[in-house]
Amino acid sequence: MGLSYGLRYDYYRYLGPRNVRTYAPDRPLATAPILEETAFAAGEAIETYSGWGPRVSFRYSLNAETSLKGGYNRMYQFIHLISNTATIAPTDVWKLSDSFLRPQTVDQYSIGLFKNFKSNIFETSVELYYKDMQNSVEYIDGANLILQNHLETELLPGRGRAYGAELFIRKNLGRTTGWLSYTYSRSERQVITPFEEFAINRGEWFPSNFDKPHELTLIGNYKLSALSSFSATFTYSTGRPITFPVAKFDFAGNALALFTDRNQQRIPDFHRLDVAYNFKFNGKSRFADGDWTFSVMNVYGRRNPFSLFFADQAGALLRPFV
Amino acid sequence: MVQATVAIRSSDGTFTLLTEVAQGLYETPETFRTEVGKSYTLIIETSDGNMYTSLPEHVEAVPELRSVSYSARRVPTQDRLQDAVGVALRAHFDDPAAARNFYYWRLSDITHVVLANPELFTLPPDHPTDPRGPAPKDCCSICYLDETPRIQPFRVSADTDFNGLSTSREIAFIADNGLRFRDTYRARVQQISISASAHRFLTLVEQQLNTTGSVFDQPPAMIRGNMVSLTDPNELVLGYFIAGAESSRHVYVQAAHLTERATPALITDDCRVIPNTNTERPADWSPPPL
Repeated sequence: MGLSYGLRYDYYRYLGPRNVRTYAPDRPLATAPILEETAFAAGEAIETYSGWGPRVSFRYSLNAETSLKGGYNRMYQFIHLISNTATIAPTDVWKLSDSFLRPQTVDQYSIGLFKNFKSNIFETSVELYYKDMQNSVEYIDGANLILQNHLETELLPGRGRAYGAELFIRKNLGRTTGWLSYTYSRSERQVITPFEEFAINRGEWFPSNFDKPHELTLIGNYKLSALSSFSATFTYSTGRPITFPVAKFDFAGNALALFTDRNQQRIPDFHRLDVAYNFKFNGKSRFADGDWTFSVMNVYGRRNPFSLFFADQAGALLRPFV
Repeated sequence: MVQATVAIRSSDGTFTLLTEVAQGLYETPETFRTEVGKSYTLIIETSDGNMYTSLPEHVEAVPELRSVSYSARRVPTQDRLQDAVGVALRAHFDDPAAARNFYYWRLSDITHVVLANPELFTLPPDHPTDPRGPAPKDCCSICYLDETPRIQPFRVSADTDFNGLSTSREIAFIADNGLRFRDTYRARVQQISISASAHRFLTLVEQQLNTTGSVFDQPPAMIRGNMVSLTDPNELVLGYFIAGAESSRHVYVQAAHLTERATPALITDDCRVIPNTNTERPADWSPPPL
């Protein structure tokens, strides 16, 4: 039995210089009248947050080949990614916690069973996890995130949860080695606001931009000789959620696309196969000596979409761009 | 939606029935006016018995549109080699400090002079005796074109950045098609006060119309209306019922005051060949002296 634990104390101050608005109460920030604007000098504290972050993990050996592991930890995050894509884009905005945006708090629980077979030739594990997130950030419908000095008017605080199971099998010895990993994971958000027109998906849980329920990775190595081997890697994951239009309508002579609930459709699934031939070359030339790898990436030429945007065409409906 | 019963109910209990003036187009009586401080609700009963209603729209006061100015403008287009030339209109008004105000601008009653050169008219190329020969016409070199665009441009704004200030906002860009700004162009600029939720609806429409298909676009968003079905609460009803107060005035754009114009379109014929034109000057046509 092994146990490790710790305690962390986070202390965060948001400092000036900055002008901070005070909005009329009981109104959504996007439309609330601005009552006043307070100027904070350089180094002056605008907001302070602090909190304890306990963490504990254990390992319990059931026998020589089997163990049970688990853990819990609490973390605070004082910087938030504000983005309309699930991929890194030049338009991503990183926003520090301030008077309007509280730090994100995450409580994470995990438990797993680890077992080896046949004198450790095979390693296997099953792990379950659950993550509870408070103060995650979502943007309002039609948010203007770029060059926006008062992002608080475009954002909504929400809750998040992520949960799933991971299966892992690895073969360590023999002519054929490799591993297989399958993960079922969900990442969801919920935004509840007293202002119905700003509710996202009516306050119900919906998939976050990072929700990919199924992920599979298969890596195999086949030893052809002492000096050469063949390897293959196959990856598959569910396409990320996206919001597509479901109908069209006219307004003032313009054809408009009707988007409904956020993140209810998905881009096509991602999958790819890479293969490689590896060999060691021990010749007399310094230039050629060493490990050589010849790879073919994306063997069957899968065109995996990276992200998807829409553009307005004069007199026509929005056209998607992948 | 045809042959429906359409009415507007005000917060003081008054019902006003609308008349179907064309297929699916309903109008209030000429005398109907909204009143500042009151709320209005649209009620629709379709011919098959379905009932729809809007959420109440509260009418806020609108500041007077003091003046409208204009200037020539060149704007980049998706065609790298060709800019669009046109005229930008600016509304000048004093925003009240006491409340948060939301504005909606649109153009109506658009008329412009069409200049033609009937003296340059020629016979058709397949004329049996004098192909392309000169055949000047007696009439007409000046017409007035009543232009009601199929797509009605609009602008919206909240007073976030100019609350309580005397301000001017660009409220329209009118592209020069070679005909509009050869002489005088007139439009009625309507400055309308709208509710916060109407502003939100129109902003989302404006955003979608301006999407370019890049990472700089706003994320796709639902354009939420304020109509609901009383018959089936789960039915998704599109559209927005807007009630507002209006301050409006005519602006006359005179070619002599423009620093830049598109290449003029030459009409070597009677100007009446252009659809929706006539030679009668509108009764209220009164451009300022040059």
